Amino acid sequence: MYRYFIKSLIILLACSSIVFAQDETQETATDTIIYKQKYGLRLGADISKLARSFFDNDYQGFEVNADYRLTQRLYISGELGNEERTLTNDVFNSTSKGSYFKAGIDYNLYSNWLDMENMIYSGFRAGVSSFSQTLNSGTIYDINNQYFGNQQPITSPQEFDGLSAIWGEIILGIKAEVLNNLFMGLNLQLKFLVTENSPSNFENLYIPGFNRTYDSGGIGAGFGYNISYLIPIYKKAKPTKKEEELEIEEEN
Amino acid sequence: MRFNTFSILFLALFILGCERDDICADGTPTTPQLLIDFFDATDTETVKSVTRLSVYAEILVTDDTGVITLPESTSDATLLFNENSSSISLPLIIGNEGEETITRYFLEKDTNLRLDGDITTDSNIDILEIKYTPNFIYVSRACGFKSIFTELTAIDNAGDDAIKWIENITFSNTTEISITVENEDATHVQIFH
Repeated sequence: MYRYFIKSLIILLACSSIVFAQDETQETATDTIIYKQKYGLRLGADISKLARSFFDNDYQGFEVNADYRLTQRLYISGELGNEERTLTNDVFNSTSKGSYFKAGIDYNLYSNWLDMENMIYSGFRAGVSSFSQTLNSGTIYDINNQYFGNQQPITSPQEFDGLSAIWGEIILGIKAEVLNNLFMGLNLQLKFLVTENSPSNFENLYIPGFNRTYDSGGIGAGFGYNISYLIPIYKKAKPTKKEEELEIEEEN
Repeated sequence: MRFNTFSILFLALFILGCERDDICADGTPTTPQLLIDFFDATDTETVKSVTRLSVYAEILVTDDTGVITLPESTSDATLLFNENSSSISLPLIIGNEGEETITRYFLEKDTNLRLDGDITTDSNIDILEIKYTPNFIYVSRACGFKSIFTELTAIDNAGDDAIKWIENITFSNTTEISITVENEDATHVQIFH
């Protein structure tokens, strides 16, 4: 049984599609067996960023992440990363380079079956990034330049230092225990820019951690594909169905 | 509840995915041209067309050895050829940022007198010399940078024929000795003839 569930979760992850096959009402609610759950520190890394660094010439980056389980459903979590991204379009080529730190909480929405400890979670992060941007090259936009038949290039690279940004982030994701204490997870992030320090006579086009910026406003998006390892510190009994219902009522 | 949260997120990502902000929109003000209006030299309030005007940049009619070949017909080198006109728009050569750059235009009046084969009459060419310092300004991620032209001056040279048909050149709405050309909202230069 156990294995079957784990396998199906791996398949679910690999397909990168989120399917809710089960509803909470289908769970066995009547049993009285007490399951011990592991509490501890989970450390991991974003393997999608590592893979992208390898395959994409315009990207270099890594991210390490950690979470610590506070209660049955609540985790405190954070990410630390470094990224370098080159963006090219018709008119110029620029590189953003810098580090970021995100901290917040994850809330497990999923009541596990039996003794499983997987997560379907929602979370919030506050993110901060310190970075620099370099305008590598470009041409001056002039719709009349075909008259002279040449375009004026931007010849010398220009570096803009000491840039920063702060944003808030909503996360939705899953984490599944694929081997004992080893988790794989996928998450989607929706980001809202709070404040940024923009260069004069240029613009923040890519903020490490926040990803691409858009003309239409301070909304960004991202995803993560993590592998992490749980260092168990102590164990605590999983609340029974009844206890949990009471707990939820109290919360409300 | 859980499904609602997910659908909102996916909808938001979908909308973001559809966005295009990498095409520079047509109406965006980018590098401006120099806009010139022609006025009567005596009655300075009156717009006066230049008869049979041809406009071409010196650099485009001069070959590598410095020989000037005047255009015989409309070509890539001519902005205007053998037409009556009361206003012209001149693209400027964008040079290196912060360096003084010069664009010279041939303003040929009565072009038909050169073309008619009658050697007793000829057109009158004045050379408009425009000096300026380009300055690059960021527009947007789609348009990149534009150039504006600071410390711009325009002077008139008589050319080979030593006769000027232009009597005076002034800037619109200012008595300063130089101007900054930032946009195409209004005429920059007035030529009186």
